[in-house]
This record gives sequence, C-alpha cells and structure tokens, in this order.
Amino acid sequence: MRLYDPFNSLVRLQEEIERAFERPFGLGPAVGISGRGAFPPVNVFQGQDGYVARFEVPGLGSDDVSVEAHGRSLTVSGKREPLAPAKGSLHRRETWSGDFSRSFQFPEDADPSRARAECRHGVLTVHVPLREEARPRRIEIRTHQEEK
Amino acid sequence: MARRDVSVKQPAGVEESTRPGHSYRPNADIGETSEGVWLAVDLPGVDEKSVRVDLEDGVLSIEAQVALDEYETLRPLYSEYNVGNFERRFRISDRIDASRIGARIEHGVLHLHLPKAEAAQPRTIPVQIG
Repeated sequence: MRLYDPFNSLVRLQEEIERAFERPFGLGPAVGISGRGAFPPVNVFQGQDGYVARFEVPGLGSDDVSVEAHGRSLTVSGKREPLAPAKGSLHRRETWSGDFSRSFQFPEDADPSRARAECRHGVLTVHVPLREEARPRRIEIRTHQEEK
Repeated sequence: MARRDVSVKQPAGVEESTRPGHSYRPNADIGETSEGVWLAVDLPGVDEKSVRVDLEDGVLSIEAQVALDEYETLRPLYSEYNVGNFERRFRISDRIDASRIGARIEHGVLHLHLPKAEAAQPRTIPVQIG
C-alpha cells in the first residue's frame, strides 16, 4: 500500500502541471479553449471517468457562476464584484473583478450534457464524464467447455 | 473581459522556505478607513483550517496550504495556473490594536480588518469561517 505523502504529492503535482504548461495543446487538436490568459484561469485534468476542469474563482460561490453545456462545448460565466468597500481609500488592487465567460470544446469521447459542477473555497470544479460508449469496459472472458 | 497573464503565479519571494514545492504570492487588495486598515487576499482552494495569520513586530504574515487530496487521481492535460501553498508578508506601518484584529475567510478570500490603536502586541489571529 502506498502511503499518502502530501509533501511529495505537492512536488509531483507541481512538476506535472509545469509539463502541461509547456504543451498548451495537450488536449489535442479536438479541443479548443478560448482565451488563454483570461480570467478565471483553468486547469484541465484527465480523471478516472472523464475530464475535470478546475477554475480559480476566489470570492465566488455557487450562485455567482453558471455552467452551460451546448453539444460538445461548455461555457462558464459569471461576475466578480470588486472587493473594496465604498468608503476610505484603496492603497493597492491586485485582485481581478468584472464579467467573465470562457468556452471549451471537449473531445468527442466527452459528454458535457452530463457534466456536474461544484464551487468550494473559491475553486469551481467541473466534471465532464466520458460518453457511455467511450467508457472502458471490462470484457468477461468465458472458458469454453466442450461437451462430450 | 478582465485579462492578464496568469499562466505563471508570482513566487512567494520570502526567505528560503523549508517546505517542499513552490509557494505562491497571493493577490491582495489593501485599503484604509479612519478606523483601520483592511486587506482582502485571494486564497483559492484554502479553507479556515488551512490558513495561519500572524502579526509580530509590525509584520503581518499569511501562510495557507491548499488541499491536494482532490488531485490524487487527476493527470494534468492543460494548465494555466500552478497549484501550491500561499505565503505573503506585509509590513504594517500603522499602530494596530492586535487584540481587535478580525479575520474571516469566505469562498477562498481572506478578509482582515486591522483597527488602529496606540500599541501593538505580537499575537496569532484566529481565522473564522464565513
């Protein structure tokens, strides 16, 4: 059994993500992602039973973002209000705010119509399952017994 | 649409860390009213149990750990940001009443309110959810 080691897990995850930076078309030509460098930033992963997209949306809850599926594409949109209160002076602004909308074209084996999404601690996670027919299926091997 | 180069987050830039992996400098907004100074710090993926806020000798330090368990079975295909812990320090020039500092985290944003006062004592500030 492999023990869960958060330290090595972090180093390994960061290395894997850095490799993915270097191949921006790692999803293959079948996938289009609009606006690299736009907010909110996204990472796309291959999960056990489909694709997982994780957006950094600090300050936003489930009611502040919407996820829509159209055929093979998925659109994530919403709005982040500025954090500054009305009164007083603002010394520094580094956080982003405003309207956003980003669209994704998933590969043919994905089924965005069955996607599910959750927003926790400022991270929006969208799970896009594989199409039923694209799922790996274990084929049972039968023993052929000849009758005498 | 808001647009900026986000493919590489800022490294934490503090003294050499003893922790493995890269730490990142979280984005922050800072403002001031007649009563005090406020900060809002973007810590996506961080909950109230994984953030530590300290004020000592006029330096406010924020350290936060992101949860990695959700990444266990995922293989990166495309990335625009790296995942890592957050670290940032601020020198607080005003005299702050450390006993009345308020800290809460909501949807991955840490909100700090530092009321102005005559004397500043070093202490650790508990972070509440919500």
